[in-house]
Amino acid sequence: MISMQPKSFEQVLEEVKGKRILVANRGIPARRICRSITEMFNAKAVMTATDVDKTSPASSGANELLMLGADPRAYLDLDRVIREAKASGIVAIHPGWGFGSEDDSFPAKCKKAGIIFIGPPQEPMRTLGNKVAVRKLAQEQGVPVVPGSEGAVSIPEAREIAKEIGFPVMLKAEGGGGGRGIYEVYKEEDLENAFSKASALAQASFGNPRLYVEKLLTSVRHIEIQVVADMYGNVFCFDERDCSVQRNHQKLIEITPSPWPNYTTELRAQLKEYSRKLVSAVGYYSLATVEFLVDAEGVPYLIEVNTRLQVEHGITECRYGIDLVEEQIAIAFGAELRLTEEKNKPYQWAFQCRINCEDPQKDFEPNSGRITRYVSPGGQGIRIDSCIGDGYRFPSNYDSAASLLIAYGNSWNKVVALMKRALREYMIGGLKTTIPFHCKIIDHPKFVEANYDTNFVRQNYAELMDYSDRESNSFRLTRLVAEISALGYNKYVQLGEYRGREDKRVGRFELAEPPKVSTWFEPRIVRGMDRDTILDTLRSDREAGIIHMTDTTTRDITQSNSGNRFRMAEDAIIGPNLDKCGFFSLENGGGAHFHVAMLANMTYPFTEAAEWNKFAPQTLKQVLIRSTNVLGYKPQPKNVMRMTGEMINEHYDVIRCFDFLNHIENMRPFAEVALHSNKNIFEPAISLSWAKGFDVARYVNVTDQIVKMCADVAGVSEKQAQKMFILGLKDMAGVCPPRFMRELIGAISQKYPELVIHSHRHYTDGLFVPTMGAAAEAGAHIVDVAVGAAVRWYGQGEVLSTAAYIEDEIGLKTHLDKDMIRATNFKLKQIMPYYDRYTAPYFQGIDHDVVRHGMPGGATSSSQEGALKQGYIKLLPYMLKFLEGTRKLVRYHDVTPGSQITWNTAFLGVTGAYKRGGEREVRRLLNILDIMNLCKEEDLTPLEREARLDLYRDSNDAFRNLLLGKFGKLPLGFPEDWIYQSAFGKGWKTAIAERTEESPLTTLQDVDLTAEMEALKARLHRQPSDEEFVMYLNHPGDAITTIEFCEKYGNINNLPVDVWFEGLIKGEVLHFQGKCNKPHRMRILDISEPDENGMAVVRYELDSEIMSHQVKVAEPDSGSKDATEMADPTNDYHVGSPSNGDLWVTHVRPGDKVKAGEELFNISIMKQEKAVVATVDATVRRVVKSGNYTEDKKMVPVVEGELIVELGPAAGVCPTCKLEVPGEDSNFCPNCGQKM
Amino acid sequence: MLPPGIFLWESGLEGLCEPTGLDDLTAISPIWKDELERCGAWSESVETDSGRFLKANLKNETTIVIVGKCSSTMEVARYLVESDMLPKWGAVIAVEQSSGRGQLRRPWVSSPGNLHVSAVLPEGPSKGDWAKQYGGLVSLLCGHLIASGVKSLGAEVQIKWPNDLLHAERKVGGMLIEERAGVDILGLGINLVESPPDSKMREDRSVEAGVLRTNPPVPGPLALWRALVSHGKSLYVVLLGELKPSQFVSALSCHLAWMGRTILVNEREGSTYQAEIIGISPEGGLIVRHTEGEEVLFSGSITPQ
Repeated sequence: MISMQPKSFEQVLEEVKGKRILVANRGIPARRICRSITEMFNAKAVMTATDVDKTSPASSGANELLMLGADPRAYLDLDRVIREAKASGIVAIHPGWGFGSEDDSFPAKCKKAGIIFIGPPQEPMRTLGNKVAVRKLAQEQGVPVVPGSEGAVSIPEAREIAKEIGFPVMLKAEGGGGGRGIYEVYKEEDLENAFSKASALAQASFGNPRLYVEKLLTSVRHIEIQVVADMYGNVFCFDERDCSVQRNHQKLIEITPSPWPNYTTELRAQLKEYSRKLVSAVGYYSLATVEFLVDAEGVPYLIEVNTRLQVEHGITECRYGIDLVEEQIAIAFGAELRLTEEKNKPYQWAFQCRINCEDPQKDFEPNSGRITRYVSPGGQGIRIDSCIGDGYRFPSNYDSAASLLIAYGNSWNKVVALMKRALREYMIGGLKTTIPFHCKIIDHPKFVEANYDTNFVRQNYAELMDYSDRESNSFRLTRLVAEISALGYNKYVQLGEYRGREDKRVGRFELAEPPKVSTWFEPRIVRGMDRDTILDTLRSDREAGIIHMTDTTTRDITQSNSGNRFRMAEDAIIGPNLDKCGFFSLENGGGAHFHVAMLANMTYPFTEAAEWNKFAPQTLKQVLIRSTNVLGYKPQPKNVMRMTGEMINEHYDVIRCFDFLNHIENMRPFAEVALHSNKNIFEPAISLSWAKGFDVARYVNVTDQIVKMCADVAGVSEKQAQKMFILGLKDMAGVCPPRFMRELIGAISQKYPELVIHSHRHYTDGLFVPTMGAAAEAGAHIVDVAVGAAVRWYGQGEVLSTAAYIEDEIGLKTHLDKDMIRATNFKLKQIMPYYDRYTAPYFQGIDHDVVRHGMPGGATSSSQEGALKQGYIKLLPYMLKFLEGTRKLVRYHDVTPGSQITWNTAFLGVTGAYKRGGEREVRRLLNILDIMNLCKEEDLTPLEREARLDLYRDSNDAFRNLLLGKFGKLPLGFPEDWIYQSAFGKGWKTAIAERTEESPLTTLQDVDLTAEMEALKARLHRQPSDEEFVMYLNHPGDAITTIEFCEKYGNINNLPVDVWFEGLIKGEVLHFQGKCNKPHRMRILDISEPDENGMAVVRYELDSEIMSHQVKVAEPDSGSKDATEMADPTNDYHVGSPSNGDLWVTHVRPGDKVKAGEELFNISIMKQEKAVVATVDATVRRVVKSGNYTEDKKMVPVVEGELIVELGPAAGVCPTCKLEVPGEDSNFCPNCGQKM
Repeated sequence: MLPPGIFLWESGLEGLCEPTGLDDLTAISPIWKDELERCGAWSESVETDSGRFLKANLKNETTIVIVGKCSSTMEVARYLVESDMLPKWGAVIAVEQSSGRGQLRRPWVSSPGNLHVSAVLPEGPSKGDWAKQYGGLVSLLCGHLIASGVKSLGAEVQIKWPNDLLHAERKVGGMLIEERAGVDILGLGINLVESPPDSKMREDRSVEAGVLRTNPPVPGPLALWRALVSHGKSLYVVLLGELKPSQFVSALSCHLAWMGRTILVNEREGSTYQAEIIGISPEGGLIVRHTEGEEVLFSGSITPQ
């Protein structure tokens, strides 16, 4: 059939020059082939393009486009392609891969049109390309094939053949292909069942139930031979490509030569021989790939022949230093094959990763969308064939291949290293790609060893999926800065819109360093000393008149005074100085800080603690924990307590633990953890109130219980035990006067002379300094203080003034480096303005009345601020009065969470009375409270007994749980029965019967840690760290918010405080450190006005790239008619459409009362009818859209999530406090502040 | 719960379905007479809070409740589901309906001897690929089960998107799925003996009505339903377990009516345009191509040109 004289390659070059060659393809193959057409042949490269593709990066490689119009599938319309090609003077067509490349009518159609097809001729293509035909050919040629049936079989035939070839076998759908429609059968007895299933499946999938049987090779490698042949019978076989890393029979990575240790030169020669035979047998020319499976023993089986250029051809080109497309074109034009065994020797290793726009962690779900960032790797040994670029909108119409990344070099190890590096350099932003997944594969030791089979991905799936796909730290952080800058405030600190873009700012934070402190100072106690040495030092120092101090600047004081918001960035500024001041310890964690570190500072609390120990390595670190509540607000089960305790012990030296009821048993799990380490110091603390009944004798008794519990836990005598821990005294409200502390400490030290005492109090009553003086004088070893610039009125007192008082007035000594304290203070003076401006509470003054109302520390300001914000400031004096009175009736300590319970009870009681009868009713309520405190039960009138039931009628669940003993044993026993009657109403007797004095630890079930871990894993799509798990156990919702925030934005502590609170303005430059101390520079170029959707665009420079980021700064323009009101999915009263569809009937009207389960409206979704029902009892407030199809024959289109019916409380009841809400227009529940 | 088996709701329930007996039904239609006879003896009877049910001796792997005259099988099935009596795949077959309904409560008029059934579908998958897609595809899924079941009985039916069944270019049946409180109930009507004459059809109908003829002919509605549910139940498991929604959608196209044909699309606003049917989207919408490009329909109806 070939009558042509063989041409030389040079002749073809001459012939083709300037001619028009069409690539009937798109994307990577089209670009790749156009390159060869233009490079060597100097021909005109024409590329087909549909509308979607006409401006794609790939199309830039062509000299001209042949437009195929709007239909994305037009590439398959071969007749049209050929017609248009003919009309525009095309001399040859290259089909690429995919689309028409395997359609054997293509060469025939081209031939008919007088166009050269750059590929094989029709007949041999049909034979080699057909699975059944090629199998037959192979058997004729002595090429081994996978044993199996010839064609489709019945069940009895299948049984017969399976017996012959042996199990396991595969049932393959005749209509299947590409790895689809394969059913594996391992045992004879399963055959029948599997056959009917597979047949049904094949019928369902391919419309053809016929199956054939093939031996299932369980451990194989996929090895293929690239062949090139000319029209004159010359054939050249290249070394193998190993494509064994696959997922569901889809190739992910291809390597040449095979790195498999069992691969031999004999096998290579054999595979080449087989390949040559097949190609020669049918007179095939052009490129072909002969694919084999090779079992563990090295036995090959032919599977199929691909009659086209393949995706992985590039690695063969790299191995040989040739251009396969060039050869293919030349052959199509009649050139004689110019490759020979002598001239073309392989000399490189090469390795390709297919980079696809898919999310491996979501089962390789393809994604489309705009590529917001594109930085391609380069340098020595790297080749990229891609079809994407920066700003390209990756279409959803085609496959997800984005780029082919090849590394080539002179050894396997070299190409692995190159690929690792290249993947690291490769940045594709805006959508998910397989890059991180490839990184995981290449990092896998088994991959590098290369001793695996085609099950590699499946068998290591969990491991390979365990990664987090994140952009670089610097990039993520600038996204956050762009967001804060566009809004003008930082929404993540959850302080509302505390400033706007136009507001006056505090200004840039540029730290001025304090003058150098040259010092002789030697601390008495440092980290690394063991517990007993430290406690001995404290005792001997106290003997010598030396009082030690604990600094609370970065924890308790900023908790009370600055909304607890000191970030680690600021800690890191002052921490190194604090470390050298000579403090006994630095309280730097625990309490509310643990929660807020996550919630508002977006830091992992234990990572923070570990950092602290790096930048302040010398001084002991101290943490505060709330007995059973650990780091939260409600009792935790023992196993969570212990697990958290262990992590606390790892990072903190002094563990201060308190219980607001002084129920000492509640501390036991922590005592167990802390006392069993000789590095950690356990500091159980007594919660102090100053009130009737809470006298010295009582607290000495609590001390006895503590000593006893510690002795029990440590397994030593009580005498021994008192030397093993520190006793904390915790006056959280700041109420105990000097004389009381003197008396109390005196009594304790008399009874326990070896006990080290650590006194803690707040400043609220204004008597901090003399009280700490009295404590020191009476025998305390350590007192808590903070550094001057941070001191306000609700936290601790100031260090230098307290030291001065103790030294000058009392005549004792301290051991502090005061110059270092001054240097620390200088830094702090520069930091505090930001916290004062943006986070400090409203109420900052002394409140000596604390001795009456007992509201502790930060709660004093936050609760009073709450009353102000909710419009009840005029009731505040009554609330404080209520507090004063109620503290005498229900007795516990004014410490978290008791203080919150007391406050809420007072708030609810007073506002409740106010709503019932104005200030007059409030006064009546307080009057009865007074009477209850003054009169004896027997002196009460029946009217008064009735009236007192109003006192706690508005109390909440926390108060009721307290009365039930759910937090622990009340220190002075249960209150009187009438209080139960008031709080519980009808059920009061049951409440009394059910109350308990047992520690909640005895009843709380352990959490199923494995199940919780699985839940978190599922949520994060990866293995959580130990710290993340502990965060999650303590505060599940907030932990997830924080983890997700950190994944999204990175470490915010790399931002200076001004940028964190204020962002940047246009033109401002931010220098910040990224990971590994790499400096970065960000400058905002422009922040646009919000568009109709409320989105502003921030354009900025990051280092040398210009970026833009859209930020939602306002609500969408409600005037625009496209705006659709969406249902708030967290609000039960918002009933939205369950999906896109047509609303055809609405059953309710505004004002209707509905019961839970009642149908509100019905949506037709592709003519299925979905009833949407109320989930709660409610009143219909609004019907946003309504339909009545049966009457007006109109369907109302609705979108998923669109608000259809808005409900309100049934009879106006607050969902939280269950009280009636007077007007339907209230935005907040006047009782408890719940948003309505 | 009623156990697997074939039941006759003898007592009926006021306002839902009329009391009936073997003799009554036999008198209504000769086809039903034969159907009931094929069930063997009706010796057992079951008393429940909702009245008395007769049970046939013939074994059956799902629950089937036969009722006499009722307003609509949808309402009877819904009642039985809410009374915890009808398990999944359980079905109510009415001999006669006084106000049978199609979608949007359109009346569905049909004679005894035709199939009118409402069946409880299993709960959709809550995990995996199907979890999100199931809601959009359930109607087509049922269509596929029915079409493939009918095929095994030797007839071709095609699904006219989204819920009509065509046989020889005539509408022989329709489906309806009503979801409430998480339970999907499939309503299915198939003409076996009689179809409404062309003059009685809705004015905006898209095709003429017809009767399903299988080869060999099915003896009656009960036999047809038994064959469909037995085939459908196992195929349902295979489809959901083995195919991804996208694969299902491509598998479905072999049963889709008018594939590749140009049809008229009637949108809800009353606008009508020509378009070619290309396939089904992964969400279950109908993909059509018209002069301005492709579109995915989620509502509206289609008629042949």
